[in-house]
Amino acid sequence: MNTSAPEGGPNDSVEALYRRLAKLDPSEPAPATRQAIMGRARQLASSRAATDTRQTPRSPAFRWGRTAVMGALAASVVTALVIAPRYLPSGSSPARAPQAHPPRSSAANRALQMPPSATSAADMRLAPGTPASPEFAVPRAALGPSARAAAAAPAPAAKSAMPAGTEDTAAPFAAFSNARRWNRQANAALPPAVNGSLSAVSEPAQQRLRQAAEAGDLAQIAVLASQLPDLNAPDAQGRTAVMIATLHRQTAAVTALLSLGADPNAADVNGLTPLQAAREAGARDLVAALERYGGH
Amino acid sequence: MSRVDDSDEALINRYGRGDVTAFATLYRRHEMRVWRYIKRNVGSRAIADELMQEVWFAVAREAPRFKLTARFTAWLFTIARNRVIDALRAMRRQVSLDALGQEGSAMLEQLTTGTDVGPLAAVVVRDQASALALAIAQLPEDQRDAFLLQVEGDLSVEEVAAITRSPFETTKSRLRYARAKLRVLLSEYA
Repeated sequence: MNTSAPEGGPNDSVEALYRRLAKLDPSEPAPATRQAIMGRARQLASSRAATDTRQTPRSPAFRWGRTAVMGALAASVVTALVIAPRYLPSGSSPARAPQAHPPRSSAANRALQMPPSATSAADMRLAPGTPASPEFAVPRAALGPSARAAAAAPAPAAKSAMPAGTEDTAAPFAAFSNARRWNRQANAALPPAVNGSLSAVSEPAQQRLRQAAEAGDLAQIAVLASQLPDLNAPDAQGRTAVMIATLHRQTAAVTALLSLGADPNAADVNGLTPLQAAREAGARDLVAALERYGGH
Repeated sequence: MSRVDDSDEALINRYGRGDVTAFATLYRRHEMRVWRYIKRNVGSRAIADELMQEVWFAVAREAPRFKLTARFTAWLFTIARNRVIDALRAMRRQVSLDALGQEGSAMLEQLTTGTDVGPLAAVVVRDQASALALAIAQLPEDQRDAFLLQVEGDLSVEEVAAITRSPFETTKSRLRYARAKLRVLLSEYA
């Protein structure tokens, strides 16, 4: 390579001299180092192979039949999610902040009582007081038994997942953290095709999350995080929302994303991790935040 | 008979899909280059061993995410450089000639006790190897980093500039100064 080297390339005298003398250096990695590296490589390869095996389709007929059924189901779910909210009255979702509505009469309140199968804050698996997520929340009626069980299960305390010393910064996001966990449990119980279609729909939302991270828009981060199954979707350069927030020195956004479960170690296409980027930028507060959440 | 693509990029993608032999081939191909780059930067063999593991662990972990937007070697040496920088910061010191001297002594001990090298040849080899180590160690850190990236990573000036996040002209100057200094320091062995 080195075609544009200032003083030659492979034939450069200094480079040739370096290579000749370097061959005399008998130093090499310790055998234990080699073994550890190859052992880890084998371990990761076998875990990937196991994942691929689990995803292997059974037969062409089964695949086509399942694709048709699930495709139709997914299309109807997506249609319902995208179109239905437009025709619903604006006050029909109790998940919205109560103070946003004028006082209603008791008759009006009775009229707004939703049946058990209707979309509600509980159906969306959002903690009380959290903003609604009309685009991606799945109505309880559309869920299978296991999903309903997951939705009905009490949420574990979010605080327990937080590293020590982060409660003050991360506390406002505890409710969103719970909502994310419940959403993940419920979505995991959906048929794969439905879940896949939700992921496809969430692509623009992933982009909005990265934009919110760049701008340090905590409210938007909280809302999007409650809707998205994965907070680590990278852009074309492999940068996750955490990385983008780090590069723009949005410390509060980084802390919020990490408290919501984002990966502190997701590297970009160049192998640069958020912690390394923060260190290179000399941003001590960011380094501290990333280290608290296991960044390395 | 179809010919198997054994380029670095094809191998890392194959490993990303679970082919461990592809990783072994890649490792053998680049092991010593990465090793020399790390060791000449940090000086200590123990730290170099540790960093070597970290670099290749990262390669194995991130393999499925490798994209063909960059050459594999550029990606590999970016990872190696990041680990080296972290280590140097942790060590809170520059690589000292003393440390290199200790490492060099151990290396020379191996050389002189080798069965293939006679006493006189060992002295010659010892002088040359230690001269190279000392010459590299005498380069300023940014020049040493750029020079080692280029010769060990077989990278272009553009790639070195991108990895070090430095302007192209700055990188070119660093390489020119590094070569000029090495030429003087190693003139005896040219």
